[in-house]
Amino acid sequence: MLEALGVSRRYGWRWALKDLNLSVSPGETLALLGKNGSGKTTLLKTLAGLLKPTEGAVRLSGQPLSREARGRIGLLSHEPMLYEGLTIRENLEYFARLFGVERKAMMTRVELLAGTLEMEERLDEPVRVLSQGLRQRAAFMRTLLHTPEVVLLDEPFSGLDTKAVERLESVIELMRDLRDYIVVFTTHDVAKAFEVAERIAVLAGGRLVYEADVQNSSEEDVSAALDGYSGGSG
Amino acid sequence: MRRFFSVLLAVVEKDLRLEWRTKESLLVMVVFALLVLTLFSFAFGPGGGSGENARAVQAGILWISFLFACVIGLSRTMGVERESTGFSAMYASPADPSALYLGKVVSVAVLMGIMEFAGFAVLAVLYRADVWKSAGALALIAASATLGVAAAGTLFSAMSARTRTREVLLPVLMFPVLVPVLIAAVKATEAHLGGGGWPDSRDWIRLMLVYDVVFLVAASMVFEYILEE
Repeated sequence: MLEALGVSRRYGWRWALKDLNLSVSPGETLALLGKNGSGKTTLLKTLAGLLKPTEGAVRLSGQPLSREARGRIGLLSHEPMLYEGLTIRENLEYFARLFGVERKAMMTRVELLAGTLEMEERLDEPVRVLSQGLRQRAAFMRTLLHTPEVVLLDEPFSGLDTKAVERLESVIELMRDLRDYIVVFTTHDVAKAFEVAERIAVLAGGRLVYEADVQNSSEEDVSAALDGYSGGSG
Repeated sequence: MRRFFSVLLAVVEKDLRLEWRTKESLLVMVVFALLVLTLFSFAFGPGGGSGENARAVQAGILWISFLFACVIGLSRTMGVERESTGFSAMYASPADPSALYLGKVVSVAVLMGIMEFAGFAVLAVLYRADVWKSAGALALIAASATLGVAAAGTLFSAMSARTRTREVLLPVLMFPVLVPVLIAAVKATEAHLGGGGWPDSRDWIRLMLVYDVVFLVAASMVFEYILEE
């Protein structure tokens, strides 16, 4: 289980997250919604261990996020975390070594992910020449390369064409149906959240203002929660 | 231990591969060092001046040019990490931060080594310094000093990489810390260029080696905190 326990995070004088409690069970897929500046990216980076909470703690399987625990998490952030001068394959080989993935397993996994995301013919192209959508797909491959238990995706569908969105959606749905992963993704698209996730959470002003299972919720409820909050995060 | 070296080598391979493709850092480093050496050779006249201080001046110019060229190279090398959010990716991985740090140190040291080879060649030609007679000793001095500069440079350039004033901050942080290495490198180089031998340079080389060990160990321990956002 991935838990945020009373997590607050401050940038200077501004609180990006305030006393936030959230838990996601193994096999669960959670969609995080919120307006720009609501704290979604900060929360995802905090859950990934990239940002330390100012107050509170993040725990994975009941343990604090140690270096080893961070290795069980895959994060797709706004920045693709890929080296422009290297090809996709070289980038993936580099990250596989950082995450301790054996070469043979890595090669199998790269081929599998490239096949799923239709990237086979792009593997040996430098990241520099790729479009925004292809970079996003390459970054998605990097995120899943080490078979993480927790997959955190920050607006995974942004910058993708319709076909690529469908591909990515099917991968997330596959992870959801396998029930082996904890998946948390952020989006502005309420309909997409209902389509892919099992649980919806709405962030506003760094606080969790709405949380419900998809079955017990409606797009109207979520939209109302999104519109209802007019306060800042200060 | 196998995993440690696998990570270290992965960082070195990645850095050198990127450098080989762009040659952004190396080219600037070599050109800058050679320019400084050439300009000073004109200022001091043929052979780099005369008198008993000539060798001391040559050694000083040599290491100052290497140091400034290294700052330019470090800014570029760390710029690649900043632009690719490579530090965050490193921090998000379970890789040993010491291996990541030492990998960066080795990459910087390799680039510096290539630049220094060109620098010593220019010293031999323009300053008529007898570099080849003491090639072994000078190589040891250069290796000891390079390791110290790369160790401190990697740490401070990683620290300053995410700041807005990184170009100014790096030399301000790095130069004071490098004073012992720089003095030792100049003194040891002067001893060998001037026809002296091991008795004159031994203690300076020891000083550099101690500095290298202390700095590499200390920096390896704190590198994880520097990778944090």
